[in-house]
Amino acid sequence: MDIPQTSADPVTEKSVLLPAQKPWKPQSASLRWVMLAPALVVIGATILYPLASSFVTSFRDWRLINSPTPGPFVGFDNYARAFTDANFLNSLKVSGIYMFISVVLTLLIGLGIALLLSKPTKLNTFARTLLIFPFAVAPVLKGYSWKFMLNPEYGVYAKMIGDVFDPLKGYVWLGHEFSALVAIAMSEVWGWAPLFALMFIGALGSISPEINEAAKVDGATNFHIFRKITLPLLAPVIYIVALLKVISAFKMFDQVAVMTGGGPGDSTQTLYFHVFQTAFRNLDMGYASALSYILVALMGVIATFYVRTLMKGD
Amino acid sequence: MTTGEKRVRQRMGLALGMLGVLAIGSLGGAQTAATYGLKPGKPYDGTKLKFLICCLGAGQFAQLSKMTGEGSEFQKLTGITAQWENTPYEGLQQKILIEATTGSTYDVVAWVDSWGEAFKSQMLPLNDRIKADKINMKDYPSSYITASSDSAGNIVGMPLRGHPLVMFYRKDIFKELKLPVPKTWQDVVKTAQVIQQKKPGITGLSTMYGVTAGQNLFSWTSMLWGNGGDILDKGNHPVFNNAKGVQATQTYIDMLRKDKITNPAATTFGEPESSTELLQGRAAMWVGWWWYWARFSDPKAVSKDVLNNVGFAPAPGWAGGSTQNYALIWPIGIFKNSKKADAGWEFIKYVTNTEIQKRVAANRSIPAEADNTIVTFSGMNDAKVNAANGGIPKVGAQALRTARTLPQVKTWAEIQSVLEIGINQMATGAAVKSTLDRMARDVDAIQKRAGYYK
Repeated sequence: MDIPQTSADPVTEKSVLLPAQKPWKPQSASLRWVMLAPALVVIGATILYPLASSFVTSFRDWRLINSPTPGPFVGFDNYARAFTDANFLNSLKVSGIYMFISVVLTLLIGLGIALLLSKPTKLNTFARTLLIFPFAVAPVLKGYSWKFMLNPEYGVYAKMIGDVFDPLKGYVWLGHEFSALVAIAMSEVWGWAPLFALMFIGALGSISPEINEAAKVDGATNFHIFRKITLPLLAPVIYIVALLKVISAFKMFDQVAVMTGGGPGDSTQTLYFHVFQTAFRNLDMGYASALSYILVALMGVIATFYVRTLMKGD
Repeated sequence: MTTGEKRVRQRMGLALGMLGVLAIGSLGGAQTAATYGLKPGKPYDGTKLKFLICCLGAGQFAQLSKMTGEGSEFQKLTGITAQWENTPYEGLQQKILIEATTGSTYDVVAWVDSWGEAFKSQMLPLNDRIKADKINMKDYPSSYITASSDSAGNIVGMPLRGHPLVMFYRKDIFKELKLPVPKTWQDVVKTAQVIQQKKPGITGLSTMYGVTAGQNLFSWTSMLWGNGGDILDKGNHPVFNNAKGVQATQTYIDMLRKDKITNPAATTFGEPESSTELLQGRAAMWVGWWWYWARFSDPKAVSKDVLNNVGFAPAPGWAGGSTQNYALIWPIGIFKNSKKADAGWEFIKYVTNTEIQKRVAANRSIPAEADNTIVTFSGMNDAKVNAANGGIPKVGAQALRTARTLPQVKTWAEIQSVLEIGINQMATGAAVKSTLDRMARDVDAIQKRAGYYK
């Protein structure tokens, strides 16, 4: 019996169409490489070569103000310098603090939003649609907006906070070390928390309502249900998004450049910003390359955790 | 002759007469190559120059680029076409460094004076050309020439765009309170205190202590130099932490923290924010570059009570000391690698020619391109230029007689970073003396690493 080629059943369709539409594969290995070559050349030129070149540069003395070409090899001097460089160590500390503030706030606010919007009402569905927008805003634009809104004279956020908490009236948010770092973190949290909320809403939806109902029958309060059931079940998702946010926080650059320029003093100079300053302001390419590789190593550790966690999840 | 013929003849006569007037008029206004000291006969006809530059939004550059591009007067006079390569400011220094040493893309370049030391050796000395063309270098502020010369004394750039620091103030407030315009920083503090007392809601002085491209150094250097201090000594060692440096810095920080004559948010301010304080009528005085005058006199840019109420004076000096304000210059020079050096020199002569610069500075037909910037004393004192710019060019000339530029060291970018961060830290509460000492140690390490001394 002929099986119709236009079967509506995808399974049937697949089983019938596959032999007829089997994708063509080049038989010779060399032909495969030839066909892959353009992509490999582009990847090599834009990723592998710069990586290798900057790795070699990290072992050389190359200050652009002295020479347009890399100077002599200096072994691990550039790496050793980093660990005695107060500015680098400061940026490491700043990045660490920033990362902590940023990750904790994003998770808490994201989770809060998710719990508020988890019930499938029409209003919640509309609100969920809006959640993606802050994440779509460019980091530089976020930085400018937040800088403007935190201006103690005409900033809307500064005014709102000042009206609610009188001692904070006229407070220069970007003029104090800790509040400047929190302000930068908030500009980032504003974009990321809604995205995390969407992820959490998805995870919350996968928790069977029967579990909660059973707990309620056993006399559990909403808080107990959240602490003993919801949170443990959300833990894998929280862990993954936290790692994702850690990686993102480590890369903080745009808002620092736009909102504080690393100030007050050097209190918001994150690692990325410090590397940028070293390379493109101080024009010390050898040292900046070494700093970049230290950064890569740190990111590599976090990324390994992230990937392993994802694989376990599978 | 019939009446009709008479009328025709009268009309022809009138038409010929008008043509004659037009012809004479155009002859009188016609410029020749000699007008600007250019070579006659278009010896470089067809040459295309590439000019590495940034910031075409600056009125002067916007006008000059039109005057030297395709179909321009310069092209008609010389046959040379100049292509202005508008590079983002942030990337310009790096691009110049690479181009100066390894590139061959560009012929002519303009740079900020403090960047120059790293690549002046790759720029063509211009002394012989200046001499041959009898250019009067005495017409330029000496600080501009020093900053445009290499360590051997060769002039490697002609001043193209330069700025003295000027004090802008609210004329109406000063008039109402019968206050004299302060001439020293110490007077500025007293005057600002009076203004704040009698005009609540108005800040006496708008300042900038934020970490923004070294802008918090502008007033500090003026105080430091005025008090007889310096950033580096002749051997390029840091000396800004000596007694005079500490005194000047303390005064600078006290304006914010002790005297409270400025907005507390100035710890985050750069040039845009601090100038906006005056633009929007929230401050009575501001010290900044003179080119801001075009903005302060633009009805679209300022609040109503500020328009036509902004006066200016040379930036303040130090009580009992000298007045040595900070000046900035963009020299324009020719890369040694350029194969079009002669055509490049024609271009440089044209854009730095006083008559051209006067024409640009006096042209206010397009408000967005209005720019009072001019680099020669004769231009700054020109009646037409002053009439178009409210007299600020003359005041600039006065300030430039004793002005200085930043130290010409190749490590300046790194030093500036240390200084601006340190100043911001002091502005947010760090102790002056110990911070200056720490900054001096950092600068000392930079200088040693760069090989200035061991």
